[in-house]
Parts: sequence; C-alpha cells; structure tokens
Amino acid sequence: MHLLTIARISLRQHRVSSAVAALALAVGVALLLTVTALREQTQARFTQVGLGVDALLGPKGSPLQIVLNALYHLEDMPGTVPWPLFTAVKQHPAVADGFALVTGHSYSGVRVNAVETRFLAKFTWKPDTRFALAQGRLAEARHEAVAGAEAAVRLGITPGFRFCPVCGVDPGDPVHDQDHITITGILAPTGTPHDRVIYLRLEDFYTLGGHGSATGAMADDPAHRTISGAYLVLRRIRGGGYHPAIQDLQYQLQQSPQAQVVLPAETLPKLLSIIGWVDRVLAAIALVVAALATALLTLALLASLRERRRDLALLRALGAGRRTILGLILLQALVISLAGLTVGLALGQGLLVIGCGILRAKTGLVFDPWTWTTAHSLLLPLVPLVGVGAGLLPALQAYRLPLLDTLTAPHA
Amino acid sequence: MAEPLVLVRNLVLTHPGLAEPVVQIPAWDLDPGAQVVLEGPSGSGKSTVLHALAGLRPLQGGTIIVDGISLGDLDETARDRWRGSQVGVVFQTLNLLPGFTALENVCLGSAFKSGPTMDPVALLEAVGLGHRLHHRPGHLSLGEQQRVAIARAVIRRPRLLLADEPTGSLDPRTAEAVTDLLQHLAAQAGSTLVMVCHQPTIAARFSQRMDIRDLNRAGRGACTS
Repeated sequence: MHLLTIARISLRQHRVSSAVAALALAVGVALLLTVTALREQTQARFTQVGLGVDALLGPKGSPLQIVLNALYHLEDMPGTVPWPLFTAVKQHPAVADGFALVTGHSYSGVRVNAVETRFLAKFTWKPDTRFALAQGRLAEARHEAVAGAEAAVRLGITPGFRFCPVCGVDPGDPVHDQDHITITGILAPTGTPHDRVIYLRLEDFYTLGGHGSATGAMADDPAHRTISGAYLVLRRIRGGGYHPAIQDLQYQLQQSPQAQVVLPAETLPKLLSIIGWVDRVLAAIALVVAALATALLTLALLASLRERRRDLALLRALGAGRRTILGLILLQALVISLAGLTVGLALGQGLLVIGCGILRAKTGLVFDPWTWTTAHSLLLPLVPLVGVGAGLLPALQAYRLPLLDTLTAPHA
Repeated sequence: MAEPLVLVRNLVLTHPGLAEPVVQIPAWDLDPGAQVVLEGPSGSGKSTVLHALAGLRPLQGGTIIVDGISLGDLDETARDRWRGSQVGVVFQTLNLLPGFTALENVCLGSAFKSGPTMDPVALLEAVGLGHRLHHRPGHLSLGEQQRVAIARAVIRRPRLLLADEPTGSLDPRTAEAVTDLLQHLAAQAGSTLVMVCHQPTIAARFSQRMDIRDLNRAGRGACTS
C-alpha cells in the first residue's frame, strides 16, 4: 500500500476537518487571486496612455473628473469650454490635432456623446489604428449616429435602430422626444471605453430640441458654440516625448478662467493612488484569510493527530519508521493544500469572471478574467509550500510520538 | 538440531521511574517454527518481554538476537525497519485503524516491507471474512477484528509472530477459534509464535507453555509440554 493511499484514507477518515481546512485555504487563494488580478488589470487598463488621447481640453474643475468623463464615460463634465478657445488651442504649436466633444446625453444607461464627424474617421485610438465599422456606415446626416461595439451589444441594436436621447445621464432626466436618432453603423470593437458610447454628430447636438434658444445660435454659428471639452493629439519630439511647448499651453490655460489642459498620463496615477487603498485593504484581508487558513490547517492536523495517536503508533508497530510518519503527515498537509489551491483557483476564477463583468459594465474597460497574473505565478508554488509548512508542527509531533507509551496507553 | 531463531541472554527490562527491573532473564531460546504461550500473573512482565522481542522498547541490559540480528545494536529507525520485515504483532484490542476497511487494514501489514507477501483477499477469506472485506472496524465484532489483525500480522510471513493477549477481550468460544486460527496461520507462514495469555483454557491449546516467573527465576527457561 502506497503512502499516498494511506494519506488519502486518513484524510477520508477526517474528511470534515480536512475539508474545512482546504476550504479556508481555498477562500484565501480565491481572494488573493481576485484582488491581485483585478488590481493588475485595473492598473493596466487605466494606464493605456489615454486610449490614444495625449491630452484633454476641459473646463475648470477636477482634472480627474475630466479624464473620467471624457475618456471613461463616467461622472459629469464640470462645465463647458467656448469653441473659440478650442480653436485657439488647436492652433497652439504643441497641439497636432483636436476633436471637440459634448457629453451629457444618454440612452438606456449608454452615454451619447457628440463628436466631430472626423473623429471617427481620423482619430487613432491606438498607434496607426483608426476606428473601423463592423456594420453599416458612418453618420452623414442630421439625426444619425453610430454606436460603439459594446453599446450595440448592450442595447441589442443594429443599423436602423431609432431612439430618442435623454438629456442627462441620470434616471428621470428629460427625453428629447422630438428627436429620433437613427443608428447608421456599428463600430468594430476596440477593447476600450470608446466601445461603450453612441456617437452623435457634433453639429446635430446643437439642433436637438429643448436646449433653449442659445443652442439655435450655436447650430448656426460655430463661434457661439460651447463644448464639454476636446481630445487633443500633441506634437511629439524625436524620441517620442511631448513637444515642450505643452508646458507653455498648460501655463497659459492655468491663467485662464475658462479651461485647462489635462494630461491623462499624469492624472490617472493619481486615480490609482486614490483607489489604491481599496485594493491594499482587500489584499490585507486576503492575506489575513490565507494566514487564518494556514493556522486552521495546522489546527486541523493537530486535532486529527490527537485522535490518531494510536493509529500512528500502530503504523510504527507495523514497521513504518519515524520519517515515514513525518512524511505521511506532511503528505496529508500537501494534499489538503493542493485541494485548497485547486478549489481556490476555480473559485477565484469564478469571482474574476463575475468581477470583470461588473467592472466592464461599470467602467467600460475590458477586463480579461483569463489573464495569467502575478498571483498565479506566486500561488501555484507558494500554497503547497505553505501547506507543507503548516503541517510541519503536527508532523514533528507525530515524529516524536512515544511508540510504546501510545500503544499501551489506556483507551477511552 | 536447528539453531534457535531467538536467543535471549541476560535480558534486563525496567519500567520508567522504577529502580528495580521488571524482567531479568538470564537465558531463553526459541526454535524456528515454535509456538509458545507465555503465561504469568498480571504485572509479571509478560507483555514487557513481548514488546522487547518486537523491538518496541529499548533493552536496559543483555541481548536479544533474532535470526542473527542483535536488537540492542539497532537504533529506533533500524528497529522499525527490522520489525516491518521480520515481525508480526497482534495486540489485545484496538489493533485496527478505524478509518481503514478490513482489506485496507490487512494491506497495511505489507505497506512498509518490500518483497513477496500473501494475497490479502485470500487471507481474509481464509480467516472467514471474505464477505467483510470492505467493512470498517466499527462494523466488525471484536472476534472479527482480531481475525483481521491476525491476517495483517501474517501477510508478510514474518519470522516472528508476537501476540499480546489477543483473546483477552473475547468470549471463550471466539477466543478458542482465534487461537486456533493464529496457530494455523503461524504454521502456514512458517513463523515462530509467541503468545502472551492468562487464560488457562487457551494456554492449554499450546504444546509449549512458558511461565514468565520460571524465566525470571531460572537460568535457562524450560518449556512444560
């Protein structure tokens, strides 16, 4: 009979305590895996260098709010920017191009942003990659729009779908019920938050009813327009850095009461530092759970050892050496930890699938639950090692078991 | 004449905390294939001698040589290994591991020894438990448990088969049956059997009977036939 068989039968005999220890370990593994994977993916997604946007022109207010609104389609824009200021910024030596946008509209929870039509044709959301159409065509006339890939899936729409946009992003906001927008095309997926938006033509935004008389003037004369902000593409110097004149632009706008230039690459790390404490707390909780699980494994083995003193002495009487007994207990710890690891990885993967789905729905960022993470690389070798470590104390106790005293001890 | 399998010389055994030895045996020999019952009152050292023969306890003096191997020269690890290959032991009660089935318990008897062993299923059938292979000890009677323990003890055909009051907890009829089985299987396996017993009717079933008090008093023990 192989030692592994003896270990298996012994574990079967103490299946409840073994299962509890394995389950506790599994919870620790699952939490560590989930927290680490989500943290890594969050950092990766929020550091995609602005999703093709070098800088954002936005109103005065929180730079983070501007980034979240313009790039991640969260929050509201804290104000507006006059069109003439936008055109002036576009002509600054530091700026290669700019695409104006208006945010603040939605449909069934999907943001409806108004952008210049050339944004969808010319903007490179990643190097040398422009938006592509998966179905239909770009919007060309009034009351036409195109939908991002995820927005289309979420709404279940295809070209030809008609809807009335909501003037706002909150439930209960008024509906532009006189303006029936037709979807003319669906964009191919980019795996970025750009996918979760319906893009209206900028000039059409000013023709929507219910915005008051001011928008009429805006529709007629661009110089009267206000926009939420603009995506800016900056000039680069040799080596890839931004043109140094960007500092001049930032300084100029710092003095302006109307607008500011925000660099996502500078702002997003601040966001991560803000949310960083959350994952630090979660990681700490996961580590505490893992530590408790390890202690539980030791206690489970110690408890089963107390019940099995005579069993182990009998094994010695049958010829099992002290080292064999030591190996047996360590093997049991290893089996429990491997079971905990397997269940934990499965559980963690399940949590990741759910968590990534939720984060994708909430942020529009594409999280891949099947990505190999640092947690995988660490947990796979560490958990068995920790398990064996947890079994060391019980194993040493078993190793030192007084053979004859145990065999001849009176039994309950 | 065959060489004795077991030679005991000037054996001294004490219990922890006691100054006086419990056992002092100047000389005792056991021939290969012998079947000996060791008798004596409670506390006279029968089990102590048996444990020493099994290598379960260190010797405080003297030597025990089994098949040419001096147990006093072996450290604990070597004694475990030696016991695994040369000795089968049956205790009075709680011989079996409760989480293991009858068959698994018998297989444990050969788990720590390489080399040929007897077929565990055939052995359990031979002791009348062919229908109880997959029952755990909790579902076996005491007599059945002892039969499993005997099967386990003989599975690797040990040179020395030691039984420490294996019938002490059994009713007389079962005790007799278990004793007969032990003797039969020991003979079949070619093992030398030493059984500790304080039941006269059981002891009477052995051709060689040894009183521990005689061993302690006399120089060379003499068997009563």
